[in-house]
Amino acid sequence: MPVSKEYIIKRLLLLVLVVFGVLIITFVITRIIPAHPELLWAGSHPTEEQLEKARRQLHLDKPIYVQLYYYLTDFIKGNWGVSWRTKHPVLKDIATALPATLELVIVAFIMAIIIGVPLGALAALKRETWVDHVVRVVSVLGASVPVFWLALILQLVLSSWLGLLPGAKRVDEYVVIETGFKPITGFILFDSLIQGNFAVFTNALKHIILPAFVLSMYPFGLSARMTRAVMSEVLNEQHTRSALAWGLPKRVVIYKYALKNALAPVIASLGLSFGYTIIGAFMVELVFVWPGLGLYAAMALLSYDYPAVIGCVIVVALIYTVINMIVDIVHSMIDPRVKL
Amino acid sequence: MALEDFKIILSLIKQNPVSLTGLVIVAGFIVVGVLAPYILPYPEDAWGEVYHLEKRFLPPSLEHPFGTDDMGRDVFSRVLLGARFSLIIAVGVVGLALLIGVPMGLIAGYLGGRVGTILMRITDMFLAFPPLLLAIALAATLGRGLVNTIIALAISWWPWYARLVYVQVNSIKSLPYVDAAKIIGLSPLAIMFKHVLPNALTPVTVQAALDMGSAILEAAGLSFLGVGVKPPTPEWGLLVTEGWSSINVAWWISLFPGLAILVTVLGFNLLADALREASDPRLRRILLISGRV
Amino acid sequence: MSYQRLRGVSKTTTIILSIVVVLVVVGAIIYMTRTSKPTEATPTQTPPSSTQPPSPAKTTAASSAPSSPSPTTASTAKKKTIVIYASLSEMTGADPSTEFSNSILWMCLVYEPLLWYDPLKDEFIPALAVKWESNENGTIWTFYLRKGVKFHDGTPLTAEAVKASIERTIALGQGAAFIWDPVEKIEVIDDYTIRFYLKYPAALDKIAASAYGAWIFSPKIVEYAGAKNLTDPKVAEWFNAGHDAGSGPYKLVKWDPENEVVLEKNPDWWGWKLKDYPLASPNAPDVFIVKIVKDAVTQERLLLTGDIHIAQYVPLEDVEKLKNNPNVQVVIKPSFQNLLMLINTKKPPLDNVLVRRAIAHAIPYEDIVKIARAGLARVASGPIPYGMWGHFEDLRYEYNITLAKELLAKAGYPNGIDRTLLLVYTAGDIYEKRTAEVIKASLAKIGIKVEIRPMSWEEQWSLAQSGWENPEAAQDLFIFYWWPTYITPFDFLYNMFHSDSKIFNLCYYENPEFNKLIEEAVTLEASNREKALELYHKAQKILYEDVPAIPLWDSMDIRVAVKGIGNLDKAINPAYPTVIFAQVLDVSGLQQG
Repeated sequence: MPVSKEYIIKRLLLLVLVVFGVLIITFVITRIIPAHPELLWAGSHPTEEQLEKARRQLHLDKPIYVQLYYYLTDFIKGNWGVSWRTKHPVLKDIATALPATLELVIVAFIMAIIIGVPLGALAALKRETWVDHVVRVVSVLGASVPVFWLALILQLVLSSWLGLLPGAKRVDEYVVIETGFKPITGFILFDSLIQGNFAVFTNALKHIILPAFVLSMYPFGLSARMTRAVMSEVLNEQHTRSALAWGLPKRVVIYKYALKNALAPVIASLGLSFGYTIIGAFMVELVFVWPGLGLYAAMALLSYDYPAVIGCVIVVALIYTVINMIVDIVHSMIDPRVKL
Repeated sequence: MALEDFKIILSLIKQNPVSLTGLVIVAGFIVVGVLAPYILPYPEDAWGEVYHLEKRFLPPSLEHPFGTDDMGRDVFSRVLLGARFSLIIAVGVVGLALLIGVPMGLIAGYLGGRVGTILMRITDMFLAFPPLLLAIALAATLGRGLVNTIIALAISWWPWYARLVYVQVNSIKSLPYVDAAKIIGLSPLAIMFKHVLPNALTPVTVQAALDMGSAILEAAGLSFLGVGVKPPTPEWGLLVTEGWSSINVAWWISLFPGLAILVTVLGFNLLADALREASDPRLRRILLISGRV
Repeated sequence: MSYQRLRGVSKTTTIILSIVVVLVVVGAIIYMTRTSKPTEATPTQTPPSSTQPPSPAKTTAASSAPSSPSPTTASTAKKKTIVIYASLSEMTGADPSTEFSNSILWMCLVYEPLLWYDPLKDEFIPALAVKWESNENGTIWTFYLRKGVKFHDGTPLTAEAVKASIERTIALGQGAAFIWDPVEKIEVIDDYTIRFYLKYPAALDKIAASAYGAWIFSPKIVEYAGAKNLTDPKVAEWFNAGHDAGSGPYKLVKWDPENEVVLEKNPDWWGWKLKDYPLASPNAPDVFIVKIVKDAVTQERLLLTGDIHIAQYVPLEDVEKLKNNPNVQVVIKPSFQNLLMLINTKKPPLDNVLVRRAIAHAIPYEDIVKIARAGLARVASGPIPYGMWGHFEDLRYEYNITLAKELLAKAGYPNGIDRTLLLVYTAGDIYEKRTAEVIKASLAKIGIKVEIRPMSWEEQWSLAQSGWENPEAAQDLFIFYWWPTYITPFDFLYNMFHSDSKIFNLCYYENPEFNKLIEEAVTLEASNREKALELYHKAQKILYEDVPAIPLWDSMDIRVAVKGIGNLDKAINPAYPTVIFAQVLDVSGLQQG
């Protein structure tokens, strides 16, 4: 079913509205805190005049709606402000950090699908047997495990005790320096692959396995359960049964009807779980010293670096809403029953 | 929710060993949560009121089944007491969120029109935040503490219930018996509470039970990020985080509270899974749409 | 049920799906084992880029990797020696005039002051100045500059550059600019001589050796930044975009303050050519990387796997174990950071000196050091840390519960205090947390209940600030670190206890006699050290009796490094906290890769 132009325009307008809504809510929330961010700006042992000056520079001496006005006018011009902690433009900081987080999330999603879909399909085919039960418990485990704890424990066991995998960082510096690797997009796996730099590629891959695996727990459980649910529904449907009755090979039936039908909702549900996964990524990043948005946001949040906090929240909300929108549109194109 | 529904669900749970495990875990958690303060082997250790210089970082033993921590305190006692805080958080968050979300959804759904639209737009605005992000921002604003954690999570949570109730009310209010009630002249308030609400509550109750596990999990996440409950409250997430700094010498400090979270949340989720399987397809679809599995 | 009929299908599908799963798992394992071999085996390495011409205003964006200084081919090039130093906190600004925080960690390698100061030997090491002198009462100071020094952009060092640098710092008035407060006028005598006229006597040699705000940089930055003058905000922007204008042994080549900062050896540095210069080693690393690793456990883990070479912090409990590890070395040095508990002297019952003394005697100092720092700290004696001039050994409080109870009874509280005291500490600091918990448990023994509350530093400070206006609303006890900007007892005593210091005197302590003593002492620092010491001792005795704060411990810096890092001990100086002076390291024995 083609998606109407009006619908997309409406969604885009809503998107703009949501971004500004989120911006205003976050702005107000951050300014309620009775902290003194001028301390950040002025340095660790400031004098009274320095604090006074910092307050003026940061407009902290103005009422909140004036501050909001300043921020909004700058924001529209594409100036997201300067981080009060790092004194770096926030947008630039985010641009450096975001690819690392996205790379982690994407690899985690790929892992989740590779492990989750076959397991879910298996469970659907073996309904109500011990296989089904085991898959069910394992997939529910994925949604029940505290990611930061799993990260700590796996890091301790696999990296510290057994030395199987690197337990922190994104890539080893010496490989980068020896090979003169220069990132282009910031997605190290992608960049090194297109440059044919396999030393960096394998090194980065080795580093991403553990954090991505930890992060894949939640989407893995989701994809396994969705696959199981959709496939068992499809397997029960009239046309599947008729197809079998008509003598179509069983393999064809499973792939052509069941698995294919299952994939769209699985990917849709993964898309919807993006928001949850990215927060999971924040915690995983803290444990694995992954130089992504999470590490940046956590530091910004704990030190009341407002421009950085607002920047991070907006970026995450933006990605989240865009993905939700795409999922909705794609979903409606695949599944004619969904009306928009 | 009607009593028969529960009976049916219960019998379904009994048939499935996995669901039964979930039920047992949840029951056990509630019992420990309620009784915790009375069954602690080392009550002073649990409440963080003492330190023992000579007993720091002892590995698990008969005397200290989960070992001791960096202040020489018994980890087992702290984990036991942690169950109580997790229970308070689970009930508090879900309860508070219901308290905000249900009336919102009910009013928006029943009145409809402009008021309904505005209420639902506000709800949507909150839903546009990625789930935990708003809670983190709020928790950071409110400051650390048990009550603040509950408030932060509940505020980021209620829109889910509001939307669920809204959808339910919308479908119920056009049913014949509601029309009948109108004809015999019942006031809108009476209709709302006597006829619409009870029927809309069934899926919400299921969702709420399901969410208790998530509440424990997310509160633990807040603690890990440094915006949750404050030490020395033995909340499980905080216990894991506190053990992090000495994980190379004493892995048990982080391992056991984390396991406690895992097992408890698993219990809730298995049970919720069973409820979802058992309840009607309509409900199942709603749960899937709401994005919470 | 038709579902039953599908049972037959499931067998083949099961097999196929299982194969897929097994393949994935096996593939992953193969990858793991393959990639865990040394990467040297991989032949496809792109040669380091050598096309970049050395431009005076070397612009390096955050994303660019370090460029090779000499145009050589990859196969014949001598491998660059790399040392990676893990820092617990992210880097802050990059403007040498205003930076007053973590960034000194690399600024000490990129920029140079007129003098360095070794506080343990109490002597100066000449840097950009080779000779200096002052008049008798310390109000006129003359510095003679080193000849032949060039900034990284090729500009030669002159007295004009020194004047411009210091004047910019003073004019901006941010960060540590206040250290130059005594300066009235700076005069250029000739290209290599500069004279400072002071408003009042001060130890300008120590000020010139400050870890913050004393850097000298190339005056050409105005040009590079396209700015009108040195105080134009464009200059700060230029710095914070990752540019350096220093003269030091290393150049800043990558500036990614949240993750890593890469420094590369400056082959033209004057120090390499000087014979017997104490701050230079012929085998210094070619590349020095500051890697941000925000947690001590991970730092230790990375060190043991050889992923980093020097760890700034490891969990203190692990230090004993690490000392016995043949692959690592542990260097322990005094640090001038100390931890104190500030008492709200204006809020009852703490306004009663007897109650404060009771608390001082009820704290088990030894236990705190053992629990919080695994014994790796020194029980404090007065607010001036051990190893610094102005520290005295006769200022410790005895841990004595009976005495504490007596004092409390004498103050009118024989059964303890009926109010719960609020103790605040910085969230996330494990040492402060453990200290707070020991204090809570200990004060309970004399009948004082304590609520401990972790807060972010900004929150904590703003709560404490309110105490000047309304002491009742502020905290009761405040766990607080202090470290000096430059090495003088005055820094500690003025900031925390002088009644004019509203920002950090968070005990709200007001004592004119004390104020007068330290004000007099500071002016005598350069001209009459003995007398200054005597006055500082007297001032600390007053604090000991009045107990506005209880010093808890003096920190020790524990740096752990892999065995191949030579001269680590020489590369650490408590006057420049967190800094590793990479130019003195000897990495000839270091295994790379």
